[in-house]
Amino acid sequence: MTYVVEARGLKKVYPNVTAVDNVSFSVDKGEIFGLLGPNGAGKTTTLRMLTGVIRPDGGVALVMGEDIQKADSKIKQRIGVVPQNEMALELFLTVQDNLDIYGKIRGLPKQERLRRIGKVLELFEIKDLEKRIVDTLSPGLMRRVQIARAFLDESELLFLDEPSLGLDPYARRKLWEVIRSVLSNGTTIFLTSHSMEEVEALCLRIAIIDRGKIITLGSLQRLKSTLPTTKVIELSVADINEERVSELKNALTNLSGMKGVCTAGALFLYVEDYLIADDIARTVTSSGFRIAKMISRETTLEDVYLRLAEKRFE
Amino acid sequence: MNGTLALFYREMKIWTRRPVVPFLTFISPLTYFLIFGPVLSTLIPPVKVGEVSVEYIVFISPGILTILMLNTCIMSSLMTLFLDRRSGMFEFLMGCPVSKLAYLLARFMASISQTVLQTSVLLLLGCVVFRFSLSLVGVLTFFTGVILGTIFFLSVMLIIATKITDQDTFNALLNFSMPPLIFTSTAFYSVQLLPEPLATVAKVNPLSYVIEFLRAGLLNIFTDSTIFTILFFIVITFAICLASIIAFLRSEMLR
Repeated sequence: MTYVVEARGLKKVYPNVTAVDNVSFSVDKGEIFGLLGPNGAGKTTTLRMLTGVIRPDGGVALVMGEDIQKADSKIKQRIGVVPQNEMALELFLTVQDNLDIYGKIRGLPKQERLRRIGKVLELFEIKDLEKRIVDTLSPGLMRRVQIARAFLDESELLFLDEPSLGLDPYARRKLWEVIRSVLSNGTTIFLTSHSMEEVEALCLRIAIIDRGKIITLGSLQRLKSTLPTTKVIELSVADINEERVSELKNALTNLSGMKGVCTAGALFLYVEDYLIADDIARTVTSSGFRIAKMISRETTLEDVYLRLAEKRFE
Repeated sequence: MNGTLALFYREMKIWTRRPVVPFLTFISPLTYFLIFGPVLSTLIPPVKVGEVSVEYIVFISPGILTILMLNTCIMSSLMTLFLDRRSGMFEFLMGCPVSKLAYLLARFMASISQTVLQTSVLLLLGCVVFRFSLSLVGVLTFFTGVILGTIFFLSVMLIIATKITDQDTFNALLNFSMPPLIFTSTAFYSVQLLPEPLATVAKVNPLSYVIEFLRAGLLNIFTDSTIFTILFFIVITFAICLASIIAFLRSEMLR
């Protein structure tokens, strides 16, 4: 089977650091695939290798079945990219000029170019910025122009590197809406992000990368199923130090109905039932602590991530 | 080729929209031509080039045009390369259906277009104000010199840019090297007037080769030594251009 994107043992080494180490995954047609990880995890380096911007030191990046390093421009004609840097625009030119130049690079005829420019300006609600010099725009508006530019060519495959970085909540929701809408045309989206919310809201499958290695990969449901339960109580305790956190963690772990405890800033308690909250409160106060905040909720992707991160630090 | 042309269009569009361009293109060289040149001509006697004596302003015109070409290569081409790299535009373009070679070719084409346009305007001005007597062979030689000089300067700077990713270091290098490069060339003095070891330095200074190329065209003076200089410079330019293409294609050019 030919995947739209396939990474086979990708590796990139910079002086003193292995940025990406033996990374493998595949993305199906029409899928939104999310590569999630903290800053410096290797997301952008992976994306750069997949788009042919940098050469891997090991492995191969296949796009539409072809090695992107050896593929001709016809493959790149079918992909669109939103780079991480919101300044990646022609700063001295207008928004219209930026879109026009990109259209020219993609080989769109003039009439078609103008039609599509009008369409994306409307779609991303930046029509009023058409004649503005890009350098005078705020970072958030620059980001919108960049995203509009990526959607100009109606590409089969879009690589979005932290697409909602710098966007206000309304623009972010709008972007998600557009991303979901292009899926119906069969567009495939490869998205990197450190926003759990974004990845959870959009992606069908997710790979979590940390320090250059994929630490887990699967559908959201499958990743969540690795957690002990679906119910979480998030607990913040006042005036506590690292040493005493372990002490409290041990006390809470022994409670009946407690399925697991994760510490990452706050305490994340995986419980069979929320009714255990009373026992938790009693244990905390009897251990001499004060509760600052206690929230009960369903598990999210963030819990998966925090649990994995904690395991790696252990 | 479509990608190269689109990138060339991009380069030219950016060039015309940058506020610094009119200053660098016309105002700065005009101050030499219209203020310093005439003043210096009254202070400095005519200079002998081959068997001919020429006014000092005419003598230094090729030097001024060469410095202008060098500035254009730095400001309009190399600085945009740094900006592309810093802003992420280079990375973005490399994800588009254009090759690194197309990017490089567009940059060369844009720089050549810019220097040819600038020198043409100033050459016309020189013809009107200083009554340069040009011949067809002279004009062809002059513009061949402009094109080769641009390729040479851009190639050298591209090689440096592939090795130095930090713009501050690059600026420091330019500021440190430019004045000695200009003042040890034949821009302002004839090599015959220079004492040793300055005369030897001027003879190996690449700026002198471009200046002598333009001077031969502008003054229509072709001695055996100028023809040798021209041929030698053509060979050197092709070699350095090839080296810059290889260095650029091998480098990832990311920050």
